[in-house]
Amino acid sequence: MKIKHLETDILIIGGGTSGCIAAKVAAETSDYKIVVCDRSYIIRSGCLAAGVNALNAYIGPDETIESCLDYIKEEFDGIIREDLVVSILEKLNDMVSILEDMGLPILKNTNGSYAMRGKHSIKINGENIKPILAKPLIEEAKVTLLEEVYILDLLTHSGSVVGGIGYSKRKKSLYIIKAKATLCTAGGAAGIYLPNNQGQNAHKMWYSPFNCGSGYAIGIRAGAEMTGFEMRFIALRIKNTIAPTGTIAQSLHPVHRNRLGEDYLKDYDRVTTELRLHATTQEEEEGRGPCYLDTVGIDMKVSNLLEKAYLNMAPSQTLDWYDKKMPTDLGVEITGTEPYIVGGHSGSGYWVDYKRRTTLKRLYAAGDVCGGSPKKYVTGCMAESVIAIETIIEDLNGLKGIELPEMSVVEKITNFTNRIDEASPNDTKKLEALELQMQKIMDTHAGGKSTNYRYNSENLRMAQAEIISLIEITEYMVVKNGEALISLAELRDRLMVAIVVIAHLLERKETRWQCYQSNTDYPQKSEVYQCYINSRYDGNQMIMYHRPLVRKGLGYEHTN
Amino acid sequence: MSIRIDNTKCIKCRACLAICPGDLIEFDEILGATMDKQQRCWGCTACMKMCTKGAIELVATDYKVSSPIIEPDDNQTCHHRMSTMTTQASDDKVTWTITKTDGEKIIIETLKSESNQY
Ligand SMILES: Cc1cc2nc3c(=O)[nH]c(=O)nc-3n(C[C@H](O)[C@H](O)[C@H](O)COP(=O)(O)OP(=O)(O)OC[C@H]3O[C@@H](n4cnc5c(N)ncnc54)[C@H](O)[C@@H]3O)c2cc1C
Ligand code: SF4
Ligand code: SF4
Repeated sequence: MKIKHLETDILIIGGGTSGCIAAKVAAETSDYKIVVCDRSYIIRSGCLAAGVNALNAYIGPDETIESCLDYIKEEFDGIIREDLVVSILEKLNDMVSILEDMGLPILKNTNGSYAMRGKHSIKINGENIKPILAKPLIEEAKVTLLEEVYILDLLTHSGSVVGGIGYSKRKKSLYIIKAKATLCTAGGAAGIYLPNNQGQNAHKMWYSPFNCGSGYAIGIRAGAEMTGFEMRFIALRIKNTIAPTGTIAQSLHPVHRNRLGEDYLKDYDRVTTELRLHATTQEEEEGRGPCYLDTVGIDMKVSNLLEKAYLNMAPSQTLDWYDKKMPTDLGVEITGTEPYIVGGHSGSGYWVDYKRRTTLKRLYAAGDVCGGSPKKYVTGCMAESVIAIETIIEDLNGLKGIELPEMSVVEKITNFTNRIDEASPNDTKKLEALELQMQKIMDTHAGGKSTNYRYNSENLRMAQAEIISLIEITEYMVVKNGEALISLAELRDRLMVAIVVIAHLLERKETRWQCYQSNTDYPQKSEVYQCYINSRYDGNQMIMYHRPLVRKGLGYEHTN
Repeated sequence: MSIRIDNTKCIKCRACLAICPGDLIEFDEILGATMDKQQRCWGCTACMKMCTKGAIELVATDYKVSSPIIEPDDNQTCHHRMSTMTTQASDDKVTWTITKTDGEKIIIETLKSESNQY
């Protein structure tokens, strides 16, 4: 195996939505050298690969920062970092302007204002959004792109993060990237729980199956504090293709009907995202499923526009309509997904200060990987990433003249990449089986879809023991080639996330949110848990913290 | 649901290689582009939009647990059991062609400059 050494000022791990905008801002506003490292190719990597068709976070003409904050607070029952959320809201609409300047088509009203979809979304053509964000970086001289390099671990030295170690299966090389500051923007985690589809369709999921929670796992292994892993994100999605439903729900406002034809949401006076999921799950559980968005009889013209909207975001849905029944003839069947860990939708991720510094020195986080500020979506992830990169530039300016330390990284390298042994049997099937085993345990014992997302402490303890034994198996596993090594790295990252999810679910001894966190030992809400649940892995065990809520205007800084 | 590459149409231009968000596409000097990890494909169509020859198609599925991708063969009934979709992308639009199970072709154009109405 070849070993390549790189040195840079700023290392950005993950060239997705957040990583791309951070690199752009850093290149435009500083002279620092930047390395962007992605496990695939940034032109279509991450959540935005197929496209999106609305910018879901925008402060519309009838809204204010205050009203948007109240909305997000209500959606997550107060357990949000108000300081972080407000700092994002302050920058949201600027991000929309940046995207429009970069060439993103946005639908306008006749008076020139953006066409709203509901209160917080604007309609765009987002099929091309990732190439739009990525292209400037490919041409930018200050940015070195390292594509198809999977980051395995952070490099640490005397308590600081000083870069990362990555592996490329195609170049059969190990990359040791030393950096004065490291920004983690590697996205959230899918595939921790048994997905809605299995076998050949296992990756037909909503969240990107290629975001395996590495962004979290590298930080957890290095001892970073994490928050809110019990606040899982479960989406209401179109059955089978697991495509988003917002396009239909927010534009056509169809009635949610069960198989008896009843409008099962009509008796709720206040329907949050969480309640809509809970109500649908309940209908299914009590035998009144399947549930549909009632699109029967919609105009053909409307149907044609919907087909196009899905082609620009979740193309498999349009194909599926033509393969089976059109939405004009049969309602769109919906169901809950498996739980994902996604800080851009709910609040799981790095515990950061107001300026997006993690608890590890010189490691920063933004986007889906960063905790405390739900409902970020594309523009919120971008806003957060701009805040993080501004902090990095400020911190680096203060550090002028510092040299990167010489360090021995031998131990970390031998730990992982020495596990390739060409003489070992082809273990792809074994790795797949282990992944399925993890997903199944999480599904049945840690509140997956098969238990309607409920769990209890005894279940969780069993899941904990089984996940630990899987971690032990993978710790010593030797694989045949680089390809299998990446699969092993994915599994290792997912297992790390799984164990943290279980620890957080065990710690919140109440039921704060239906489905997201529903503990049958403690079916009620408790005042005691009006706090964040945080954790830190010290190399041996998880240490849990309860942190008091941070209200707006307080700009939280790390103290202990 | 996954893509399938028709190597009789592939001209080995390599355009689809460095695009997949999961880095799933391989290259074979004799066959051209190949993808044999159907169970890992997200169905994002990024690779299809790079192919000017329509050699990559997205194949529908019935979403039964392990429903296999049906390989093209001489048996037409078998080949046509599932609908398929191909794309042609240019600077200003993407043209999507859906071939239904009965052979009917549906062509939909999405203009890059035109925003979604929904
Ligand atoms: C299907 C779908 C539809 C959505 N629709 C909308 C919408 O309509 N409107 C909206 O506003 N929001 C939408 N969202 C949410 C939004 O897309 C995300 O919140 C946002 O893009 C996340 O940005 P990110 O930078 O955190 O993650 P990503 O953009 O996913 O970037 C993460 C990057 O990290 C890389 N990476 C992962 N692991 C590693 C590793 N080990 N080493 C190196 N690199 C790694 C990945 O390849 C990826 O490029 C949608 C999300 C999904 C999944
Ligand atoms: S459809 Fe997307 S995930 Fe599947 S092979 Fe093509 S680029 Fe990769
Ligand atoms: S883009 Fe099409 S023609 Fe070119 S290598 Fe890929 S499959 Fe073959």
